[in-house]
Amino acid sequence: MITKKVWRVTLWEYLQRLKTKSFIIGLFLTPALMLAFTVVPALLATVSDEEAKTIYVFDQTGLIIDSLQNRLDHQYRLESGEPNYRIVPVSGSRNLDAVRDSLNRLLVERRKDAFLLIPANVFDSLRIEYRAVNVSNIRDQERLKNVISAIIRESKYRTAGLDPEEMHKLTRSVDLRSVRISEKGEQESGFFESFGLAYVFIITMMILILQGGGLMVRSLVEEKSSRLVEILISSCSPTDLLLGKIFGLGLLGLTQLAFWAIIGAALVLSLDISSLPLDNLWLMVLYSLLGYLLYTAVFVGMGTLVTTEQEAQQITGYLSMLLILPFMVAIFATQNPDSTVITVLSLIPFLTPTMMVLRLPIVTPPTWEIVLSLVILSGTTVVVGWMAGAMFRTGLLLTGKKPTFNEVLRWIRASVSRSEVHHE
Amino acid sequence: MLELEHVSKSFATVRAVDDISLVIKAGEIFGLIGPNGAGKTTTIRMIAGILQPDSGSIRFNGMPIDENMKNRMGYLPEERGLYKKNKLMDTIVYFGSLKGMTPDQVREKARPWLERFGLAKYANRKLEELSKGNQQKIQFLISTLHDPDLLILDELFAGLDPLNQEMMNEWLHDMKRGGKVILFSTHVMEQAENICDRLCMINKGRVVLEGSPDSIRKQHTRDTIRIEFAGDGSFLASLPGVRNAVFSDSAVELELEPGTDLNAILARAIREIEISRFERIVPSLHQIFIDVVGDSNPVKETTPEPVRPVMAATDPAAKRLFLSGLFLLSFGIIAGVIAVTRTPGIEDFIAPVALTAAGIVRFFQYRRRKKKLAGGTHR
Repeated sequence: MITKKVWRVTLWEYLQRLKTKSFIIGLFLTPALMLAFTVVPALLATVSDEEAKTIYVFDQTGLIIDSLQNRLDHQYRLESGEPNYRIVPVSGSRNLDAVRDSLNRLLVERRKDAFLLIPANVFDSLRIEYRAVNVSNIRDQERLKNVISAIIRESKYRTAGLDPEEMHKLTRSVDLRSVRISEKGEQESGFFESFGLAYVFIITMMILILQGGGLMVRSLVEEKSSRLVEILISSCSPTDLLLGKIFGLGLLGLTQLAFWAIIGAALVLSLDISSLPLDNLWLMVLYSLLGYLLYTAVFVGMGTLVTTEQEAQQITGYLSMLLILPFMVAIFATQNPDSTVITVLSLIPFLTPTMMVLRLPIVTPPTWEIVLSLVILSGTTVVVGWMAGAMFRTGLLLTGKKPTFNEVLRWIRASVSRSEVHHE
Repeated sequence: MLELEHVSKSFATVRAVDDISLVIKAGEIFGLIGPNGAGKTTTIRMIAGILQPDSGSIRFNGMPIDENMKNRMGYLPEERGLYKKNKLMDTIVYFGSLKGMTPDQVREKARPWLERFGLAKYANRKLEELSKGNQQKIQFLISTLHDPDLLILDELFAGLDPLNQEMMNEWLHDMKRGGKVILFSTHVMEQAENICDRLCMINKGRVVLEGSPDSIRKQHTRDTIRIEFAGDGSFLASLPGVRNAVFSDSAVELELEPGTDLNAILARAIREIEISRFERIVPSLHQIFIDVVGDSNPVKETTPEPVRPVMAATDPAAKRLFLSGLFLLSFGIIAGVIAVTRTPGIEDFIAPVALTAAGIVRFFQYRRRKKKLAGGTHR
């Protein structure tokens, strides 16, 4: 069945794409970008301020501002050792509204950046105001809030005759240690260990599917529009051509994967692998593989229908949405991995690979679900692959006018009757 | 020897090839001519094994055209394209290897040809760097490198300058001397006349003329003579056997009744006027083509593609139906999702279901309108 010509096509598709600049760039750039996207924001969030921030405080009580300065100095310091926050008291009239108005004006004129208003009744109302041009510096606000809460709490303890130290000990919250239990025993594992692996799988699957599919559609469009396909089909059978393309692009994906795995291995070795839930790894690989085959078949079918680059890109866009869906239900899935919605979604073949890869590290789904989803998924892959092949054989010579739905059905039917004739 | 027996092929609405039978012998250049849309390309594609005939058989040296046959066949399609971003030699090796050669064999055979074309220095350059004419030469090279027994050339000379045409002509005759079966399609009649040993004209999927260029022309020779002369030749119009006479500057074309004695006319004319030229007019293939095809296709373009998608797209009512259907459907779905997330009672689903249903109804109306429009253009 697999002829020598299949390998000729495979070799061509593989080697020629391997040599392209865009592939080589992608090989290095994709992991670099992925790292950058995950690591850089996390790093930036923890980076401390470069210079002290000045906060103007209007303290109507007159009781808080001193201990505020003390505690801030004590808790938050710049790398140079200087205090992170400089508290500047604002004196003014007794009238809070008048102070607020004049401060607002200063803010609008950009003479000052941020104010903290502590009203006289703060001990009862528990309300303070942070007024600034930019109110999205959540970290600063969170710190101010925590420090002032602590000051007020402790002063209340004292008025009630309680020892703040003692109270602190008494009100400490519990420490929750999560341990994941499976047949393999127990593992200390958190959200990120479980999900890290699933996300790596899903993202890798997405990149390979979308990139391989995109290349497939583009090469089909190129060969169709330049009529190269006529020369090809007068040299080998459409099946040879299709198989060769699938193998060639698959090989390309594997090359990329292997390369990334080496980079990944370096990173993973620095982590503690034992905390990764690897017990279902082979199932995750199986789902990913079937998913790759199913989507490739869809891309082949689409590639025979579209006639221009733009259309090809549109189709790729729509298909990528299907692949992204699991990310949107991820949080829900973690909380209710066995809910009916998740089960139903997992049994829709186009979602099965990603949904199952997402679920496997959380809780191993019931066996019947795994078996049923695998049967549906592989069944769909076979049917879609066969339909795509039928469309490929007929639609290849098509240019210009896009076929209607009925015409496509006719191709598929024609292909059935032809293969029946062959069998006789 | 290539034989086509009662070959037919239909597409959705068109009978592209209708019961064509042909025999093409080895060492013969056989021309396939006909107007655009006559079925030339479909015929060629069936011979090249790209399309399967609905009925009838195509055999080469007694064997059906199958995958094994493809290695013995060279095909040059009408529309010329190659991989633009790939290196010349890589591309040649790929196509050669698809014809069953090893990469080394391909390189060995291709190099002298590239030298001959003056393209040797481009072997490791991208194809897009070549001029259009040179790209075409690479295509010829690809179609013949594996020394095929059957050559199918669709519009061989299209887009070539006279020098390159001459080069291709020589090469074509080399192939002919090598005893290949050569099928050559063109719509330039002068080429067909000069190059082909035999030719066949098809129109609307059927063979309308077949034979050597000479014999076809003889068959279509009307009894017309042309006389160039000096003097008063007006008497010629009233000679016996002259059906019609068209005078122009010192010349006349006489259309004669069949069987009229030319000698008698010449004898009479010599006495009265001074003759500088006397000839029987043999029509060119070009003229025959126009006569034969023009009779059957009054002016109209011969592309029977239905125009229905264009109609539907430009019809504003259909477009409105489609868009409103799309909006209703998407709002219905969004409303449905919102309803689901709010742990609803049955009544919360009324609006989403109604919206979705309205959207679906719109789509049906759109479809019906499209069908009606399509029906209208057919009639």
